[in-house]
Amino acid sequence: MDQLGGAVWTLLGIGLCLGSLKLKIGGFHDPGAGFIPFLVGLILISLGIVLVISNSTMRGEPQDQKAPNIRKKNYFRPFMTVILFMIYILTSEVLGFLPATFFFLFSLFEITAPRKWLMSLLISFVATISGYLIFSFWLGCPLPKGLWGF
Amino acid sequence: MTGFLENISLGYQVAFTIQNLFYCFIGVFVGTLIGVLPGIGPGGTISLLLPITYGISPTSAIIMLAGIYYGAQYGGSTTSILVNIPGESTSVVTCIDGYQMARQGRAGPALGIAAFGSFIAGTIGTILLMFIAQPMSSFGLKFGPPEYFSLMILAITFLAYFASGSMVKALIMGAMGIGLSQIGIDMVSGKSRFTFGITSLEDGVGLVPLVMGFFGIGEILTNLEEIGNINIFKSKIKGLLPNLKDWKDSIGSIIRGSFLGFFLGTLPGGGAIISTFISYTLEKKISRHPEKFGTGAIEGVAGPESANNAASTGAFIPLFTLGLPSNAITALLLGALMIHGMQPGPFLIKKHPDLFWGTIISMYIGNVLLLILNLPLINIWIKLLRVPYRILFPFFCFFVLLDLTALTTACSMFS
Repeated sequence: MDQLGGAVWTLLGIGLCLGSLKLKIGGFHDPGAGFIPFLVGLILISLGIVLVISNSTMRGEPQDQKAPNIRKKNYFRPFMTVILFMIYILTSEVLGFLPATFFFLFSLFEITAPRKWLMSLLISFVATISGYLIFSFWLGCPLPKGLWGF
Repeated sequence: MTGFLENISLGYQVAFTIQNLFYCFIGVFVGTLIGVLPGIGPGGTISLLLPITYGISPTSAIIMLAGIYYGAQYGGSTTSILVNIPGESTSVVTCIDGYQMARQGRAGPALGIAAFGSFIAGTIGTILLMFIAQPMSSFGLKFGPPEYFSLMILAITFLAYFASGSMVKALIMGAMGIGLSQIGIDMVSGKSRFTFGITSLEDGVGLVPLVMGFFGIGEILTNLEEIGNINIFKSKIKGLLPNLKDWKDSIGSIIRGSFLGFFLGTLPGGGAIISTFISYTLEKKISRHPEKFGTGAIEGVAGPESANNAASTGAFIPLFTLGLPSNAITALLLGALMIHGMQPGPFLIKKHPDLFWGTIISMYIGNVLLLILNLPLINIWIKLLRVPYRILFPFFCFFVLLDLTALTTACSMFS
């Protein structure tokens, strides 16, 4: 995993350096707009390579992953949460605050506690309405209205 | 001396207004709450609450956010002692002896000494802050760009040195931070840097969305990865007041932890987490019975719990006097000050004495409130631990959404 991370940082550093070249880099006495980003890019490339190499040399050694007491990870829930956030951002302007927030909350509850859908429905409904009342009426926030006007 | 007393008097006038007392209570209440709940920490909470502070005065905002910070240090010990899971990263060390004390039926004294230790450390820290901040600020006035540059280099060096885990990764994060600060229009040449034609990026990356993403959503997603339930302490907690022997064993640790924590809290890149580890090691080294550590030694709870609280107060020194955050949380507080149009630095105390002295006095009030919240009401907090994270996290996400909506729609109250 660290090797992949190192590769990503190296690529990002290369991107920064290439982007900085389009701006003026200048020199130490007359730095241009791309001077610091270029330096940061070089640092990222170096550190990224160090991360890749240091983890490659550790391959033969016993890994922590084989430790019996390591805690299992669930990647499904965070992945779905990110997807739901993206769907919300894309649809809230069209659907409006109330329907988009309700479906967002209901889906989150369903991902984590799928067997209690009636309770999820009720909590999502109450939370959405409360949020709407507090932000729209009390604080005067113009929330996204969507096609149906709410 | 007269000026000093005048400042204290000003602080009392500011802190004792109904509004600021209310925000101080909200801060320490929320701080204890998130300290007890292992799912979210002060960083995540402060980042989520930043947009809400737009509508209140800067002093009230800082009083509330500071309350969350030091309040979380109190609450974090509860889960460490009762369920062997640190509520906060600063309470990791407390698990070692605190949980052993709970298993031996001494959960009450462990919780009691953690709260009293935190109270004493918080008070010592606040007094030190009161006396050190102003001379430090005057000293800071002599600082020019070379001094600030050197301090930044020192901060990055400390960051890499103190980082728990890989030093390379810590340096990558430091470089990434500098890289992010480069986005936007270059002030010298006027050229757009890495904005990709997005107009809103021309002012740079917005602090609030950035910290909400890193600290708020990041923390939620990390917690969602974890599988498994917490075994909650079933029986009612009794005997919270430590006995005379407990006090005798732990008072030295509390005092040492307070001064050590305060000093480490002021260092850039240092802070509450490191202070707890150093305090624990110190107590073990100087103890006549080091073999007791790890089996339920009260000093192992008193020292680190005092150190983390004093460190959270000490962290305000570089923030208020030099405008330099020593850790992620004070960086968020720096952001909060900037959101309200204030420039943290040597001039802050001179230009906004109400904010500085009001916050300091509110810390005294906050510490007293925390003692009340954490001792007589401990059983209520324990009940909260029974709420599963799967129920809580959709609400955290909901809060993020509300914040983002408020930010993007230019809420009339916040403008």
